[in-house]
Amino acid sequence: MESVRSRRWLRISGFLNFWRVFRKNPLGLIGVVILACFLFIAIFCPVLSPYDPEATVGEIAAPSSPANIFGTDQLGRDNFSRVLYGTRISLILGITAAAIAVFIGTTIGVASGYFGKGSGEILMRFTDMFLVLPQLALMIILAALLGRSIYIIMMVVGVTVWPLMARIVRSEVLSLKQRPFVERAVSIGCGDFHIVLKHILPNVLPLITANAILTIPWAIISESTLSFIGLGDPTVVSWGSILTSAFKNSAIMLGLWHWFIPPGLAIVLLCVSFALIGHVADEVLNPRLRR
Amino acid sequence: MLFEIKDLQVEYSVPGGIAEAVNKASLNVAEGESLGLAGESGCGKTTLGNAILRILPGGGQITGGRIDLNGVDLVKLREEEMRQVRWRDISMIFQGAMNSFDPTMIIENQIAEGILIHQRGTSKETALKRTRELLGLCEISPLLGKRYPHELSGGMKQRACIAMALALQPKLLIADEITTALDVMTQAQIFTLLRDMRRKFSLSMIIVSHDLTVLAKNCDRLAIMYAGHIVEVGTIEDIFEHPQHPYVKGLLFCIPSFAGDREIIAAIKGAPPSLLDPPRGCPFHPRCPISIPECEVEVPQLVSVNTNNHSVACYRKDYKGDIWK
Amino acid sequence: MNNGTVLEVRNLKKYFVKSAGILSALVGEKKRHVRAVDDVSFSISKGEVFCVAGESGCGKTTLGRTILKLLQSDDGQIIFQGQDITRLKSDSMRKLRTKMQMIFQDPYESLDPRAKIYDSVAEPLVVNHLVEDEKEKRNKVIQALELAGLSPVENYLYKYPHNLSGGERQRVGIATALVLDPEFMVADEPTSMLDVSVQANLLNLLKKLRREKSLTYLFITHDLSVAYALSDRLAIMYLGKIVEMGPAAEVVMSPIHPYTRALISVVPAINLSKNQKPIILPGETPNPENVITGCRFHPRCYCKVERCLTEEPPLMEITPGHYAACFVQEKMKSKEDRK
Repeated sequence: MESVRSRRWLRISGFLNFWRVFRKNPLGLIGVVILACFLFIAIFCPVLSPYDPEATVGEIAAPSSPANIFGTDQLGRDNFSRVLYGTRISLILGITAAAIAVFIGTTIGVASGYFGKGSGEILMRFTDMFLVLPQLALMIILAALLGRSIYIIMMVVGVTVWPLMARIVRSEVLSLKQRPFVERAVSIGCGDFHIVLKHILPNVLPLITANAILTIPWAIISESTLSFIGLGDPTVVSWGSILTSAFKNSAIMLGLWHWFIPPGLAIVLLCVSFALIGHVADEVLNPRLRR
Repeated sequence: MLFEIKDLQVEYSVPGGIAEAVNKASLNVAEGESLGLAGESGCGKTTLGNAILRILPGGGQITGGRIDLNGVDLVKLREEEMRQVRWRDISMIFQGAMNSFDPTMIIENQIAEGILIHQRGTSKETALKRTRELLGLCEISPLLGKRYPHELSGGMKQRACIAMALALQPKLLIADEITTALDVMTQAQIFTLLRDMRRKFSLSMIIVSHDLTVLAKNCDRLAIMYAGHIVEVGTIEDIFEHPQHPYVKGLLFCIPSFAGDREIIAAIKGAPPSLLDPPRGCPFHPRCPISIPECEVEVPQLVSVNTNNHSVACYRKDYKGDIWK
Repeated sequence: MNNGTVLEVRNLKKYFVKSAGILSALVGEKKRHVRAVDDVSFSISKGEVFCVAGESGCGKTTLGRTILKLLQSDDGQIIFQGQDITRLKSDSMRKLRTKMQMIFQDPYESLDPRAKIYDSVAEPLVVNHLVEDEKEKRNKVIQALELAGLSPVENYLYKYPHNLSGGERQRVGIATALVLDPEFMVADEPTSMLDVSVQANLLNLLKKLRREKSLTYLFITHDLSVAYALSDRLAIMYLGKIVEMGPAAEVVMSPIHPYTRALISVVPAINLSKNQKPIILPGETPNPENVITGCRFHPRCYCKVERCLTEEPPLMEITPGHYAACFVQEKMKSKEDRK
């Protein structure tokens, strides 16, 4: 009975620890709150938006009015609804691209780090090849070959970011390999796979998570950039595409701030929130740093 | 009496509250004398050393007591005045000092730099000359002085630290665990050097270590700390032959006996108390086999045992039997 | 070799190659070898505590790891319970590992910081498929922790290493070794990072375990007073070689080799009781990369002769069971014998 009680208490105290660390970091908390708002918007945007983002509901490039808080774009579509729906794309895009980068980067990084000389070195050279790929050029080529699609963008960002992840993971794995507790694992008879899964990966996790979280803003901004130069997916509502159309339609000159500021601000806020969370993530996930 | 500490109180504010790192500590060092400060980890000996030089890390504060050097109370000095005292009157070799050399400067330049900063107006040549003299005294050849820290062995680096500490000929030297990371032979060399320095410059020393036997060989007197309190002070003979405090008796048992049976009596069980929430009264009473209700009420003060300078902080100092068997 | 020998090491060698950088390789600089373990031989009988002592850089840690096959030896033989395991592949080695375990030096680093104590202690059982169900696993884990002196056990099972003190962590380390019910333990300086009072407790635990579980130990330490208190036989290493070997009490109280004599004379704990004049050797232990002709100790020796500079002395039996690698001492002894 004693042990069951203490087990439950330790699990609860695990959450309390989590909460305590976040509480101590007001910045992290702000990041979480902002992200929560965006998540809420992303999930409930059909309910929250007054209009269908693709439907023409007003005059072309109309200024802000009670009917259209952010005005309308060059096709008369409500900007407010478009910004709300844009949240979905940004989040999905960011998370998927980061996931691709993490998956490939971690696998190659761990393999390269664990196997050291020989195959490890070969993997590193392979990584270096991808490291030098220019994101933009790749995007243009693929867009030309396969058409402009949001999936291509996700893939390109993932494929150009994973080498950095692999390098970081590799150096961490190399240093972890030297630590006595890995030596101990060998001495008690653990096989390589077990050591990697149970000892190396969990200890690399904080680093991966922190980096993954910081990859997401990069992906979102990359998409905006690509949209801006005309490589974005025209069938999808993204903040980048809203910004692009605002720019192309001289919104700045016409003083139509309601058109281009909201999406720009949204990008900044979402990226900042991820940055703040990533900042705190390491401390939360690393039991050793917790005091 | 060259140097005296009276009822020193040092506190740290840490996330969990206030930790009483040093609790009403009193000790004294005569001119030319070597006092050993012993205790296990967390007992406050390093904090005491840092407090003397008023270089406590952030969160640490001296909240009471006096530190008297030749009549001047160091606790009351302003920072500018204290800066004059540091290194000139009192010098310290920190734990891990040998690893805190700047890796991008050669050894003699680092020591000379310190001299230049403290004695403005000295020319660089004079400072370097003095540095080389010091290094020579510490048995580091001029050639070695021109090397980078990573090219020197642990023992040599430690000797360079000693040279640096003695650069301005201080009256008191505090050496904090200077041989913990060194081999026993190198340790012997370092202490021989220190002994020579002591004789040459009539230097007083406070040697801080967790190793009682090292202190026994290299000090005149010994003070033992537990959980921030000084629990016993005396000459080496007093402490080793007639220990009074139960903790000290227990510690001595942990040293393997070379007399016959090769036993280590693992007398003391348990762990030291948390400094955030220390027990009432004597800090050792939870682990003490002969504690009485009186021990839980008030902290025992250091009282004389017999004559010369042997004092113990224990209500049961007159207990005659075997405590730890 | 009788049935009572658990471990026999013959002419064991382990060298590390200090790889030159690309630039030096281009210039043609030869690779340098660090002869960490250079022709070491000894045997350990069942139930014995055999101690290898020496200063840092003498090769004792490398020796321990090489014997347990955490490092691959370069020459010589390791014979464990009659079986030559020198060239055994890691798969076959895994089965043997349950019998030979290691206690590590650093209690702060040798446990996985992200694993709970229960999982750390259970892991050896899991990877070796030694338990059938959760209940059996739990019982064995609790048993091991209790044997290691951690009680009440429930207080420790679900904590993380950073919640425990150094001494407690070290006990957990011992528990992870004990849970496999090994016969042979290599203890690599298990107490050097602990306080004196904690150290005393832990050493007594090791003594107790040896009695109760009939364990055989290879104990590695730099602390001669600990070696004296714990071991039956003691070997002193210097620059990769064993320079003296014999019954622990004899080696400490009547050392033969000049290095051992000097070393014993400067250990404060031993010196306190003997009160002899310390022999302080000049200089420091030389860099193991540099090759020294003749006796490795001669540059610092205070009683060398011509022969010592050119010929390397083997381990010779000076008094029954007590060996030393020194021509001068051997000569003195045989002179005495002839008298």
